[in-house]
Amino acid sequence: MTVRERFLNNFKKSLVPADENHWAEKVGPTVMTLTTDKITGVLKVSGNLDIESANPLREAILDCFSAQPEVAIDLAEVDACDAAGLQVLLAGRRDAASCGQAFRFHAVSPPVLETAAALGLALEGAVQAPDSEGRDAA
Amino acid sequence: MQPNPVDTYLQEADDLLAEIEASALALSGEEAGSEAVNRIFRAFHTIKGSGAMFGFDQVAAFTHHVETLLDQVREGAVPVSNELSNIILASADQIKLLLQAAQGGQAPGAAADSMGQARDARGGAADPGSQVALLARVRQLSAAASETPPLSAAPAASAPEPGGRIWNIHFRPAAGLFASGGNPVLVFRDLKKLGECSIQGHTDALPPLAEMQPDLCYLWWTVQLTTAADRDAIRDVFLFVEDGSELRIEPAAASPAGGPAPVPAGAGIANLERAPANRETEPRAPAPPPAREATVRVPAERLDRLVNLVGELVMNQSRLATAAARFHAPELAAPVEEIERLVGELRDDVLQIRMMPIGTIFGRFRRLVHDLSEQLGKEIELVTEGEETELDKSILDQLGEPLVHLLRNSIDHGIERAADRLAKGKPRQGVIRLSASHRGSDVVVSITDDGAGLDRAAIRAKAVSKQIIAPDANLSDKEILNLILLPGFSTAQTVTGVSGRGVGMDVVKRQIDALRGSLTLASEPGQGASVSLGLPLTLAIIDGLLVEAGESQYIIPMAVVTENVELPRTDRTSNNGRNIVAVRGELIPYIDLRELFEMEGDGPPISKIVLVRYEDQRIGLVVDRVMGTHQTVIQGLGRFFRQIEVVSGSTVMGDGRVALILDVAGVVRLAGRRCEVPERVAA
Repeated sequence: MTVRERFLNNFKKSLVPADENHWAEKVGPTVMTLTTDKITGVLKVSGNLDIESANPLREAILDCFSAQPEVAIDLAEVDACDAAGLQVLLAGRRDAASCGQAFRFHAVSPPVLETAAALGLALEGAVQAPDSEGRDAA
Repeated sequence: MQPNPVDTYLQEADDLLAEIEASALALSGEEAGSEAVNRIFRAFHTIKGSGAMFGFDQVAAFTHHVETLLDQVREGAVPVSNELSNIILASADQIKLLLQAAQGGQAPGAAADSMGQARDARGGAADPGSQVALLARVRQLSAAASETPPLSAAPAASAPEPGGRIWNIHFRPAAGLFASGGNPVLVFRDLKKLGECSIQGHTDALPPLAEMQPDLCYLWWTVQLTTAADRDAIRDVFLFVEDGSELRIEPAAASPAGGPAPVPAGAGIANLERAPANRETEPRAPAPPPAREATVRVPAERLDRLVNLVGELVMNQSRLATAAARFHAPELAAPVEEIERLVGELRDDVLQIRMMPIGTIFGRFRRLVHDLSEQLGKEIELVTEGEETELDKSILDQLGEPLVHLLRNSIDHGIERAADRLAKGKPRQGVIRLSASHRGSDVVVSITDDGAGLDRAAIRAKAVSKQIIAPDANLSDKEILNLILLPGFSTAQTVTGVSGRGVGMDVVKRQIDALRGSLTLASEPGQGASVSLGLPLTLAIIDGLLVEAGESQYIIPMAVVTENVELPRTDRTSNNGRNIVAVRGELIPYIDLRELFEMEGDGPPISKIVLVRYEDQRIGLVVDRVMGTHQTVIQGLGRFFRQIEVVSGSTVMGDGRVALILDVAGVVRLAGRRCEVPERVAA
C-alpha cells in the first residue's frame, strides 16, 4: 500500500485536490497536510494539536514512518496545543530514534513551545516558527 | 436525564463516610501512616474539596480541621489511638448532620435511623455546641504533636510568602486523566501561583506509537516547588486530577539523596532520556491504588422494575408455550422453545444483578457494636465471616432491622461486663460472631455470642407469670427457648435504651417469616447463645408445588414440602373426626384447604396430602390434586390484599389463571384460630 493509499484510507475527506504527492485532511478545527518527495514526508499540522487530533496525527506519523526515510513535522501553524497532542509527537520522536528513522520538528509555533515548557517537556532541535506577534516563547 | 451534581456529591459523600467509618473502626492496632489512615485521609479530603465546590462551606471548613489532624497522623506526629478513632467517627457523624442541615430538609439532630438512638445517647452531636467540643478534641490531639502550627479558622491556604519550604512533588496521573477532562497544563499553572517551581516531564512510560492510545496519559512529572503554603494547599491544586493518580508531596529534605534533580523547563533531550534511570532510584509508591471497578450506579427502583418486567415476560412466555402447544403448530415450537431458554437466561441474569454481598450491611453493624459496647461499658469484638455471601437486595434491605435487634440483644443481654466475665473464667473481651454461608439453596446468617446464654428457668418463670404456659406444662428444651419468640415476651430485668423497649423477639420472628426465612435458637448456659436465620436467596422467584383445591390453584413453596401422600375419603373419619393421618406410623395433623377456605362440594374420592415442615413439625395440607412443580415468579398482591395472611403473593399461570402462593405459617395460624373456638366450647 502506498503512502497515498494509506493516508487516504485514514482520512476519507480530502480537503484539497489530491495529487501524487500532496494530501490534506481536516479533523475538527485541525487540518493536516502531507507533502512527500522521494525522501522526506513533511506532515504539517494547522489549527489544534490536541486530544481530538491526537489519534489521526498518530496514524499519520506511523504512515510516514512506513514509507518515508525522513519525516519532518511542521508545527508552524498550530494555534493550540495540549499534553495529549504533545505526547504523540514525543512518542513519534522516540520511535524514530529507536529505529534509525530521521525525524525532526520543522518549525514550531509559540503555543506548542509554551505548552511544552509548561509541562517541562523538551522539543529537542525544534526551530521556532516566525511569530507574527513577535512573542518569544523560549 | 442528567443527575444533579449535588445529588451525586451527596451520594458520594455518603459512600465516603461509610468508608471512613469502616476504616476508623479497623484503625486500632494499625501503624500511623498505614493504608487505613491514608484511606480515611483521602476520603475526608475528597469530602472537603468537593464540598467546597458545591457550596457546602460549613462542611469544608469543619472537615479541614479533621484533615489537618489526620495529616499529622500520616506523618507520625500524632499516634493512632482510641480517642483518634472516636474523633474520626464523631466527625463523620458531624459531617452527615451538616450535610443534612445544608440540604434544608431536616434540622440537624432530627435524623433518626435504626441506629439513631445510639447516636443520640452519645450526646447528640448535632448542636453547634457539640461541634465546638468536637473541634476542641481535634485541637487537643493535634496540639499534642510538636511543632504544630495553630489551626487557622479558614480552610483555604494562606497566600504564598516569599521563601518557605522546598517540596518535591511526584505526580503520575491516572491514565484516564485526559478523558476525565484533566489538563496538566492548568494544574501546573495553578502550582506556579504557590511559588517558584521547576517542572520536569517524563516520557519514559510512552509506549511505541503503534501501541499508543492517544487519549490516555503516559506522561508523568516531578516538580520542585518552593512555597510557604502547606501540604494541604499544594494538594488542593491537584484536587481534580488526583483521582487514581499517584501523588506524593514531600518536603525536599525527606527525599533521598541522588533523587532526580529538578531540571529547568525546556532543557535538552539528554535529560529526558536519562529519566528512566532516574526513576529507578526514586521511592516507589507503597502500593498501586486499587483498580476501580467498572461499575454503573443504577437506582434500586429501576432494578425492581426490571425484575417485574422480566417476571411478566416469564409469565407471558409460559402462556405462549401453552397456546403453541394447544394449536399444535410445529413451526411455533422451535421459536417458543428458544424464547423459553432466552427468557430463562434473562431472568437468571437480572436476578443476579440484584444480588449483593451481605458484607454491605455487616459494615454498619461494626459501628453499632462499637457504639453500644462503649455506651454499656462492655468490651466486645465483632467478628464477621462470609461477607462475600450474596443475597437479593430486597432481602438485604429487610434484614438490617432484625439483625440490629439480634445484635442489640447479644450486646445488652448476652455479653457480660468484663469483671463478670473474668470472674467466670472467660476472656475479658466478649466476642459476637456474625456469619453468613450458603446451605443448599438457602443462606444461613447466624449471630453467636459467648455471653451468659439464655436462662431457661427465667424464660419458663416469665412464661408462667404471663400465662403463656401452664405452671406444670411439659416442654422440651427447644420449646422453652422458642417461648421468647412469642409476642409480648421480654426477659430483661431492666429496660435499657439498647434493647428491651417492648419490641420483642416476636417482631424479629415475624420479619424473618415475611422473608420466608426460618429462625432457630440455640444456647448453652454460661457459654453463649446463637440465633440462625435461614433465608432464601431471592424473593422474586420460588420453586413451588402447584396444587388444586376446588376451582382454585395454589402454590406451596417447595422449600417447605417434604412429601405427598394419598388420603382416601374413608381415612378421614377413622380418627374420630380429628384431622390426623398416620404416615408410616407417625401421626400428622392436617389442614383441609377445602374446609379452611369454605369451598362448596366434596373433594375427589382420593385427596392428596402435601406434607410440609412448620416449626420443626410436619403438617399436612389436603388438596384435590397435585399438579407438579412450578418455578414461580412472585407478584405482590397489592395494598388491598396485604392483610390476607394465608397468602404471600400470587403468580399468573400459563393459561392466564392466577394461582395464590400459600404462606404455610399463615395457613396454620388461621386453622389454629378456627379450631380453637369449638374446642373451648367443648371444654
